[in-house]
Parts: sequence; C-alpha cells; structure tokens
Amino acid sequence: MSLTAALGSARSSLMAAGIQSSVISRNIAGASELSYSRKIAVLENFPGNGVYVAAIQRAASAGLYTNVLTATSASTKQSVIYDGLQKIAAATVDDPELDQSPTAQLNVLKQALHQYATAPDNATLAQSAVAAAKDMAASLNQATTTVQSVREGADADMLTAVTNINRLLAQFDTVNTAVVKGTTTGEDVTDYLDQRDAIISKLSQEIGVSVSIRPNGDAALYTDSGVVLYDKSARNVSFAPTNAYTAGITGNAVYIDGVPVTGASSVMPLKSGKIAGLAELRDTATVTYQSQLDEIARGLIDAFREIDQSGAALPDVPGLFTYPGAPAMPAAATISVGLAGTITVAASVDPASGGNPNLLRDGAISGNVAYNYNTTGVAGFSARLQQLIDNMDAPQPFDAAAQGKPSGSVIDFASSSVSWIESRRKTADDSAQYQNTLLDRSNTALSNVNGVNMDDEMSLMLQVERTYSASSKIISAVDDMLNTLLAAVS
Amino acid sequence: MMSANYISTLMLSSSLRYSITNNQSALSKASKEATTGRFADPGLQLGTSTGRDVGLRAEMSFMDQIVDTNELVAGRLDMTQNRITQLGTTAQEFLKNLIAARDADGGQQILLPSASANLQDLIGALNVSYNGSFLFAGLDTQNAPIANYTAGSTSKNAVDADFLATFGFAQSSANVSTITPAQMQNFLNTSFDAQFASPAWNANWSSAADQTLTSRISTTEVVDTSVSANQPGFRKLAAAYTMLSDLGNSSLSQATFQTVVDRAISLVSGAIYDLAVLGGSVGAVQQRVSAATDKLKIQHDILNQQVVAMEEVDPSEASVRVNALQNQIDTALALTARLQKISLINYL
Repeated sequence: MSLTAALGSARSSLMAAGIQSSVISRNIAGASELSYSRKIAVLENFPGNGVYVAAIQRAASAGLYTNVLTATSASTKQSVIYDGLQKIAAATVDDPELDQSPTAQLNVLKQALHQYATAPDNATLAQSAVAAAKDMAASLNQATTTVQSVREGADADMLTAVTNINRLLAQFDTVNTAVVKGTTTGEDVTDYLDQRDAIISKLSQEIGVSVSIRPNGDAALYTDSGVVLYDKSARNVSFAPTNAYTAGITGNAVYIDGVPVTGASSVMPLKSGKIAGLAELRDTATVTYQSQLDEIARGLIDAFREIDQSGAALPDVPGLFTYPGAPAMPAAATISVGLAGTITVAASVDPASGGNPNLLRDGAISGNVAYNYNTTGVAGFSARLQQLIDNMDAPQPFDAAAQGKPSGSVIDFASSSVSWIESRRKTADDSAQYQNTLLDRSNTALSNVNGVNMDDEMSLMLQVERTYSASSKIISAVDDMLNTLLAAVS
Repeated sequence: MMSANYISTLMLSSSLRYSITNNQSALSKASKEATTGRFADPGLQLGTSTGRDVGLRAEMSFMDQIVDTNELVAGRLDMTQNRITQLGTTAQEFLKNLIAARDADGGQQILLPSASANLQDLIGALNVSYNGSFLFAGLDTQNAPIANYTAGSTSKNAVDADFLATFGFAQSSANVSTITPAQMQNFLNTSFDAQFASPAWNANWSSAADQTLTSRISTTEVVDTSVSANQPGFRKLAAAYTMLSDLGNSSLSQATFQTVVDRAISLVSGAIYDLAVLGGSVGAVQQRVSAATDKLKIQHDILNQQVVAMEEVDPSEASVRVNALQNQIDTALALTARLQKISLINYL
C-alpha cells in the first residue's frame, strides 16, 4: 500500500529532522568552546522507506591536533623558562641604565677605592669605600637569595603540575573507559571524544604528550620522551618537593611509574611542557647562574686577598672580603658552591662592627701584622689601594663550568655573566614567541576544520525546518487522502 | 562541509582578539621607546651584547670618577706649584740683598730681619695643608712636616748645641766677635751642614716622609702628585736663612760675616736652581694630569656614543610605530563590532 509507504517515509524524515536539529543545537551550544568539534548527522537511505540517521560523526584532524599539542607543550616550556630568567634578570641586572648589575656594583666599589686612594688620609672616603664593599657583598647575597627563591618557586610549581597531571589522568581514565564502552556498543561517543581531547590538551601544557588510538577507540598516552603515561590504566606520576633551596641542593626528579623523567639520572628526560621547563630552570639555568655569582664572589675574595709582607712566606689570606672558610683562600679557578651567599666584608674593617676602615689602606685586615702593607703607618699610603684597584682589573682564571669568561678580570667575568643571563632570556623569549605564533596558527587551522560556523548551522537549520514542514505537509495530505477514501467507503 | 573556505565562528571573532592583545602590548613597548629613545627592555633586546653594554657603562662612570678626582689632584698640584714659585721669588730677592749687603757697612743689620722672616715664611709654606692633608709631608700627610724654629724647638736646640760645642759659647755671647773666618768656615762645613743632611734633618727639622703621594690620573697612569719637604732645595734655603738669622751675625767680624754670606749666596743660588727644577717637574705632572683629563673626556664621549648606539631607538621610527599600532587596534576594534553584526540570525 503506497500511501502507507509515503506516510512511513515522511515519518522517518521527521525523525531524521529531529535528530538533525538536535545535532545543530549541540553544535551551536559548543560554538564558543575551543575543544568542541562539530558534529555531523550522517543521513542514509532506507531503500523505499525514507531516510535515517546512520551515525553522528565528528569533524576532526588528527594531524592538526598533534600540532596543537606539540606547540602547546613547547610554548609552555619556553614561557616557564622565560618567566624564571626574567625574575632573576630583573633583580640582578635590570635596565643597564640603572647600574644594578654585578658589573656596575663592582665598578662602584672600584670608584670608591679610587676616590679613597686619591686622598688616603680621608676617613670619610675610607668609610664610603667600606660601605661600597658592603653593598657589593650584600648584592651578591641578595642575588643568591633571588636565584634560590626562583628555584623554590620552580619546585613548588613542579608539585602543582604533578598533582594536576595525576588529576587529569584520573579524569582521562573515566572518559576513556566511556569511549571504549560506547565504541563497542555503537553508541554516540563524540562528546566523550571531545572531552578526552580537552583533557589531553590540558595535559600537554604540563607535560609533552603523544597519543596513540587503538581500533576500539582506546587511547594510550606517552610522554614526548616515550614513557607510558596511560595505557589501559593511569600511571602514577610522583614528585617529592624540596621546600627550601640553598646553592648546592639538588631538587628531586619527577618519576612516572618509577622512571625518572627529569634530572641528571633520567634516561628518558621530558623534552617539553611545563615540567620540562621547570626542571631546566631549577636544575640547569639557575644552577649555572648561581655558579657565576659564586665565581664573582671568589674572584673578589681573590682580588682583595692579602699577601705576607714579612718575608715569612705565610699563605695568602682573605682580606676585605671574607667568607666562613677563612683564613684559607677558596680554591683557585674552582666554583665554591654558595660562596656568593656567604661572602661578607671583614668585621675588622667595618665601622658598624667596631672595625677600622683604615685597614683597607694599611692591610692586615686578617688581624696578623705580617700582612701589614703600610709598615711606617703613614696616612698618605696609597700603594695598597692602587694595588687593589689593579687587582680588580687584573685577569684571573675562572672555572669554565660556570660558562662565563674563562680568563679575565672579575669585572669582565661579571659582564660575561650579564651577557649569559640576558642571552638565555632572549633565546627563551624568542622561542616562546615563535611557539606561541605556531600555537595560534595550529589552533586556527584546527578550529577551522573542527569548529562550528553559526551561519552554516543556521542555514542547515532552515533546510531541516523546510524538510520538517514538507514532511508534515505530506502526512496531513496523506491523512486527507485516507479520509477521503474512508468517507467514500463508508 | 569541510573545505578550504570553511571558518569557525570562534576563530572569526578570536583572531581579531589575538591581534588586539598583541598590538596593545607592542603599543606599550613602542610608546615607551618613543618617549625615552631607548629600548623598552635593553637586556632582552641586546641579549649577549648586554655584558658589553654594562661593561662600557662601568668604564664610563669610572672615567667620570677619575675626571672628578683629577680636579682634586690638580688643585693639590696648583697649590704645591704656587708655594714653590713663591719660595723661589723670595729666595731671589734675598740673593740680591745678600750680594748687596756683603760689602756694605751694617750688612748684618740689613739681613737679619729678612732672613728670620724668610725662615718663618719657608716653614709656613712647607706646612701648608690642602683638603685636610699637609702637602709637603710626603706620605705622612696627617702631621705638619717642619717644626717651628723658635726657642726650645728641636731644630733651634740642635743648632745652639752645635754652636756651643764648636766655639765654647752661645750665639748671644760677646765672644762671637772673636770667631775667625777659618773657624766659621769649618763650623759651617761640618756640624752646621750636618744639621741639614740626613739623619739630623729628619730628626730635628722635618717629620716628612721621602715617599710622596701617588695618584691614579687615568685608568692606567699612576703618578707622584706631591713634593716632600725633604727636597734639597728646601734644606738649602732653611740652612741659608738659619745661618743669617741665628749665628750671632750682628756681632761677627766683617771678614767672618763675609764668609757666612758667601756660603749663604752659594746655598741660596743652589736652592733657586733646585726649586726651578722641582717646579718644572711639578709642572710636568700638572701637564700630565690635564692631558689625562682631556683624554678621559674624549674617551668618555666615545664610550657614551657606543652605549647610546647600542641602546638607542630612533624616536621618530618608534612614534611612527605607535601611530601604526594605534591604527591597527582601531581597525581591529571597529571590525570586531561589525563582525558581530554580520550574522544570519539578524536576517531570520
């Protein structure tokens, strides 16, 4: 009976239109969400009996999605490094115009010495030279505190990131199970897939991640270095935080399922993501900068050391600048870890501790008269001060591991340290900018593939509306026809 | 439905949003650069060259400092030169008087007051202090170098004792007239001369150190910038003025007095020569200081140019950039508003 068939087709068309409009309204609801991918209701023909919705597809592009993940991880890593270096550079170098850098501080000290040397009998100038020396020591101490606090911050951020990863992996587990189950039973899992992608996107900020999808819809997650993060079940990511940092303390590594993924002992170190950036900042960049500060401190102690004047061949001792290891000199051309944090001006010269600033001119700061340069005790003696100024300019060897100038004056070395941190900051900024642009581009490309265009959806809606009214019209026409027929029969 | 022309509504609106935020942060940088003429963040811009930048700045400020201290050094040298010139002039006047008075009657009376005044003047000149330090004291800048020559002072006591030991009476004694020229000659050559040579000079007259102040007048040059009161010229003047003021000259016989005057003439003319040499060497140092200062100023300018060149942003270029960015932001904002209006919903 073909009238019944017409009624059936119209009915299936109504059904399909209902599903289509529900898909359209889902699309419109997700239009402003970056992680939402457009759903498409696939219509198929029932031979001779209208249409039905065979499946709901997702517009997606695995390639572009991988690009977004990679760019996200890389850009997060560089931003984290940049932020850390920025903090250190702002505290220790700042604008060169403001003369805050170690180089400028050393120069202030040199100037104070020079002024004092011009009038060595002037007590005020002696005091201001000692004050400049104290400022120098304090600025090295402060720089050490800044560097170590950046390391503390990085350590705390690593803990937050690890907590975040574990939380995201737990969510991932739930969603992934739903996807697998839905795929097996043939349900619409597209929303779960969106949700899973959103979770992976969030994960990619914390850690470089790669995804592999199995035929049943199951996804396995690996870090960019190849360590399994999720395969059937979530792996445990663990990290023991270190609360207080001083130079020389090495922070703990992040472990995934017992395998270290950061630090020197790691065979599969993370390459990107926030954790990789934080680890590089905490374990490499700040440690190198700290050793540069330590070398500046050691260079200062060395330049101001006192040499035996009595002919008794006594060993050299620290003079104006001293440290807890005095009276031994710190080993030459070797990083003394944490020296910049402990360097001080000798109490015997510091008027604030009851010392005599004139010892700067005369020598014997260490307390032993054998180191007295001004044997006649005259007030106009400037030879020692001139010598100190020359020492500040004299080349001395520095530990190559500090990555500064291997041989040069302490001022040159300090300049090379300024260069080092600024060039690192510039590099991090450049690549962060590049990766951000790449991320923007990839996001745009991806969104243009899987995003929702409202106008398009609205015109589809019009189409569905028309189909719906036409089908309804057919139903009422068939009803009329049947009525006419039934009336004729009765 | 997937095609190259497809665009998601989200991107349509957010691409402009990205460009607005990017441009706004660029605008804040550009406007800072336009007003200051320097990079907004020189360290970030210069990277590896930042070390050179801070190094140049440090060198520059050290040069400034040396130029400042050179003024002090120059002041010290000017004062020193001035005193040496004055002493030279006084000595020349005195030499004229000596020659005139040698054969004149009552030459003793003519010379006595000026000799003793000149001695006081010499001591005063050598004890001059500048900026809190005694200029002629060598390194011992906190002590006046020359003791006064008055009754009871070490220098006078020593001369008195020598005189008494040689002749058996004091300078004020009437017996002074009995001293023969040969005796006087002998006294002057031996014990009196010894008073003005080391070690007696350093014990009785001068506490000055032989080493003099040294100052750094450029980044590399360290020069002597003071003169010690122990210089031979000063000793000769002190000897000449003392012998004419305190050897009982008024009572000496004419022949003996002439012996003293002859000796004084040779001493004073020797001193004039020595002072001229000394003044010359001080002048040479003055010359070096002012040359060093000039050189430092030139170097400072060169360094300053380098620093400026490193950190400089062309302000007009920066302000053009500000305008361009403003336009871009304006356009982006206007477009955002218009894009909002372009929606199929408005026509349904």
